[in-house]
Amino acid sequence: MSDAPERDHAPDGGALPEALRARLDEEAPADRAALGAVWHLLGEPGHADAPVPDVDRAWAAVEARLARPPAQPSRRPRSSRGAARPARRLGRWTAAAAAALVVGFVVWWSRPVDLRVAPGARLATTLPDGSAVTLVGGSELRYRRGFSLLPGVLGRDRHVALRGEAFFEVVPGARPFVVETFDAYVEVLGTRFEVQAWDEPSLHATQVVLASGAVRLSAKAEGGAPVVLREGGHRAQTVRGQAAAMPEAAPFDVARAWQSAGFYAANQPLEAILLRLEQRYGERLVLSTGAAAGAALTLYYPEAVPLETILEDICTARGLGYRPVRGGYEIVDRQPD
Amino acid sequence: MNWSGDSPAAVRDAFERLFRAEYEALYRYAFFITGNGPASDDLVQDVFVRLWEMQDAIDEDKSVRALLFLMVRNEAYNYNRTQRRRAELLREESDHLPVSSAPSPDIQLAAAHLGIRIRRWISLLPERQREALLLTRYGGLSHREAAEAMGISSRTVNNHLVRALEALRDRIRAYDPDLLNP
Repeated sequence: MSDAPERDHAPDGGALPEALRARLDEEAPADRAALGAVWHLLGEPGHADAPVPDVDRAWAAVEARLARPPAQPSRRPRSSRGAARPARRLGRWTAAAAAALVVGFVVWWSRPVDLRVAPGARLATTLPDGSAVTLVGGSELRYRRGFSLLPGVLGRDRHVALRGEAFFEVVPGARPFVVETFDAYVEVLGTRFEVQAWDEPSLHATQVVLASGAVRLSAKAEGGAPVVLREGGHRAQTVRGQAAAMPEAAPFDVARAWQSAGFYAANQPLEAILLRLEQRYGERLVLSTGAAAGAALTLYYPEAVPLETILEDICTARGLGYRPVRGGYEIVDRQPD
Repeated sequence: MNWSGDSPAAVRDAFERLFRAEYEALYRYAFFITGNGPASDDLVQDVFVRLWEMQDAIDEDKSVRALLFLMVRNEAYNYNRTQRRRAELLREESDHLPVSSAPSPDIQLAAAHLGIRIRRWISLLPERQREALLLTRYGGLSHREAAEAMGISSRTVNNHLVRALEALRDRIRAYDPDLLNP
C-alpha cells in the first residue's frame, strides 16, 4: 500500500519537504535561503483561506448518496489477490485517513482563530497568553492558536490582527504583543490601550488611545518614524499611511468607557462616527444631508446608552433631525415644523 | 454472508473518516481553481461518491490521496470550462455584458492583509506552478503524491515548485524585503 503516512510534506511552516530541500541545494546559498523563507511564509495562517462549509453537512449529503458497498464478488475472484480485496478496502480507507489526519491536524492548528463579532454584539475574551480583549460589533480579531506556530513552537511575538475597535489589557510577557491592522502595527510590552482600525472610506485610519503603560505605533508604509505613547490618554493615529502623534490627549477615561460599554469619539468626523455606531449597534445609519458633512464632533458616554440617545445628541449639536427607516435611522436636515 | 471479515459498516466508517480528514483540503484546492464555494462543495462530494463506487477498481499501488486530488482537479477544470462556455453564450446574447472587475466587499475588506496579497500572487502563477504549490504546500501531499496527481515526475514537481517560489519571492521582496529576512 502506497498511501501510508509520509513525512516529507509540511503544510505547517515547519521543515521543507526533503525533495525540495535537496533541489534547493542546487541553488546559490542566498537564493536557497530566500526561497526557503518564501516556503515558510506561505505557511503562515490566513493565506489559503476560503470559508469551508460544514463537514458534517457535507458528509451527510455524501452518505445519502452512497450505494451499499459493491456486493461481495458478483464476479468470481480472479486470483487469491482479488479474493482478498474487501479486506484491503477497509485497510485502504483506514490508511488513507490516517495519513490525512496527521496533515489535517497540522493544517487545523496552522489556521488562525478568527473571532468575528456580529454588528450590534460585543465580545470580551481572553487570549492565549492571558491578556484580555474586548471587541465591539462588526470587529474581527485573528490570531494563531496558542500564539504558536505549531503546538509547542512559539512564534516571535504575540500577534493579533484587528479590523474594527478593541480594547486590550495585555499581561506582561517576554515576547512583544503586536496588534496588526490594515496599515500599521501597534507594539506593546504590557499595557492597556484601545485600537480603532476601520479601512472604510469614511474612516480609513488606525487610531490608538493609551490607557496605561506604553505602546508603539508604526505604519506599514515606508518612510515615516514610529510614534511611542507613554502617558495615559495620549493618542496616535495613521494619517495617509504614516504614524502621527495627536496633539491633544483624549479628554476622557477610555478604559472606563470600555469597561461599561460606553461610547466616545474624540474630534471625529460625523461620517466616521456613524460608521462606528452602525457596527456597534447593528443598525443602518444613513446620512441624507450634506449640511454636516466633514464636521467633527466630540462625544463621551461613560456608560452604555441607547443609540437614540447618541443620535439625539448629535442632531441637537448639529441642528439636524433623524427618523426611523427600515433597519435603522436616517439623519436629515431638521424639518421646519 | 461476509467472507472477508470486514463488515460493510466498518468499511463505511473508515470511508467516513477519510472523507472527514480530506474534505477541507480538497475543498480549498477546488476553491482555488473555481473560485466558487458551492460548486467546490458539490464537486468534492461528487468525487467521494465516485470514489466509493469505483473502490474495487482502484489501483492498489497508487495513493488514494493523490487520486482524490487528481479527481477534484479534473472536476474543477471541467466546471471552469462549463462556466466559460456559459459565459460565452451569455456574451453572444447580450453584446456588452458588463464585466465587473471590482472585487467583492469581502475581498476588499481583507485586501490589505499580506495573506490576501499572497493568495492573489499565487493565483497569478502559471497553472502548473500554482498546482504544484497548492498540492504540496496546502494540500499536504508529498512530492510523490503531487506528481501522481499531476501526472508528471517528482522532479518536474520540484522544478515547478522552485519556479513558483522564485516568482513569489520577487513579489514579496517588492512588497516588503524584510519579510524574507531570517
